[in-house]
Amino acid sequence: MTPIDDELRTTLRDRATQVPTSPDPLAGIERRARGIRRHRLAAAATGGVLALAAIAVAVPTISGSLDADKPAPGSFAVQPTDTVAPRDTASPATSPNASASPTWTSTAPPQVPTVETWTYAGMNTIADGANRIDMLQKMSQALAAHWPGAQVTLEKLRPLYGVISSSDQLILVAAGEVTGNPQAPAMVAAAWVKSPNAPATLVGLHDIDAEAGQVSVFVPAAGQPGSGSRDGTAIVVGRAGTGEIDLKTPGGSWRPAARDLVDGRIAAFPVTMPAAGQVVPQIRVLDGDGNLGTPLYEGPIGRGVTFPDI
Amino acid sequence: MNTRSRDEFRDYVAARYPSLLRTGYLLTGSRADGEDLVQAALAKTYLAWDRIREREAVDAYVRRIMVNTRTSWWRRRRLDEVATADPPERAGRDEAADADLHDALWTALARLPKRQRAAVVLRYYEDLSEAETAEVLGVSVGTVKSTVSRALVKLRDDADLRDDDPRTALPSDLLGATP
Repeated sequence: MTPIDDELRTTLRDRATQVPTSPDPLAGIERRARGIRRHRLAAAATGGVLALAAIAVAVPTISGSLDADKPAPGSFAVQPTDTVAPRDTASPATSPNASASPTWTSTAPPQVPTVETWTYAGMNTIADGANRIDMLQKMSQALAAHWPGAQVTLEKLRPLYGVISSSDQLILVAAGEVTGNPQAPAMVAAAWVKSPNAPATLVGLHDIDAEAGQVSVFVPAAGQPGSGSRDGTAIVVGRAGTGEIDLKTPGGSWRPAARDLVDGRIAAFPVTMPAAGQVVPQIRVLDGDGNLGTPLYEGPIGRGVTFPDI
Repeated sequence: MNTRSRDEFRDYVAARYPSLLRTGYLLTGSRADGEDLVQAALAKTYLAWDRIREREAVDAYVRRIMVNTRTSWWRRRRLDEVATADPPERAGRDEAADADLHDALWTALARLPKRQRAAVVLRYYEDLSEAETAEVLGVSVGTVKSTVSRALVKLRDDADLRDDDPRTALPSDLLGATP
């Protein structure tokens, strides 16, 4: 121990003892927690979520189906545990009161939220009533498989982006607040794909339970299993303030992922997914200043991440 | 959150809030910012409470949120990691003989980059081990060592601790000390 160690300890402790405590901090904390919950959905809706939807064909590392009990012939699949996993300190819920069957709070035609803080990007027709409800049900089914009773309700679902890919797939990306099981993630984002002559499927579902600035990455896969093709479309939805979305393929250098960003923060671009064990393409999201030193996000396609990492 | 969980959380807050508030103050240099930081961290903890199984690990969890939230706020405000000309608020004057030195050291601490300051607070106030500090900061033990070492060098080189005023200058044995 050196003298400056002692001086530091003394200074810090002296200062710390001068801090008065609040009489009842709990009320403020709970109020703040409620605010965070409300803000999460708004943040996701305003671009607080970065979602990457790589619609690749028959990625061999992705198998299984989110429609666990009835896998659709010809559809791709993702094991929910690959993308939505309980936190390290948690395990799937086993609440005796929870129902194993998902329930829908509404099957009525979708209603446009009265307060739409997010501007839907892409083709509006894709987020129409039938597609939205189908996505809602599939999200809730996938959640309930891990956390009985967990569901996303219609009024808590916010479509973020919709597009028709070059292979005539409908792709819809949305975020929703989860209710019904406190052990489930509070917020999830998902990508939904409907291929021609095949039932719609959920190809990615991620825990985005954090405040604005959190990042979530999807790696959906769709198409014909066994085709051998790994080409697809990647969709990146950056948070507010996004100025540039870059892509780096294995062995290559950073380059803009798309010529133009949709709505200032969404890029859709073709991508080839690597075979298992190979280097995965990287994406990088920069702010409006193009600050390379502090990217809003930088990481591989295909892995769910939490940002900031807490 | 059910009633039982809420009671557990309330008990945790009642027991740990004063200590966490002190850490928040030391991390930010301001009581108001410190309280804001602790409340933000505890609000996030509240939302995750049912998913935290190891209650003895909650302190580490909260500390990590505090450090990361502090960093996040700093990034959001787009401040450069440079010394500030304006020292943070000072608490009431201490009449003790070495109060001026401690004031100067406190001011010098405020000039440290956020990560270095966090490492110093965790090591010298929280008395965390290097491994525990590494866990909270999300870095390696080696990075903790180098971060603390650089922080101490910065403190020794701080102008306020090297000035000609004998009340605030670090004693020569401190200036020459090595970590």
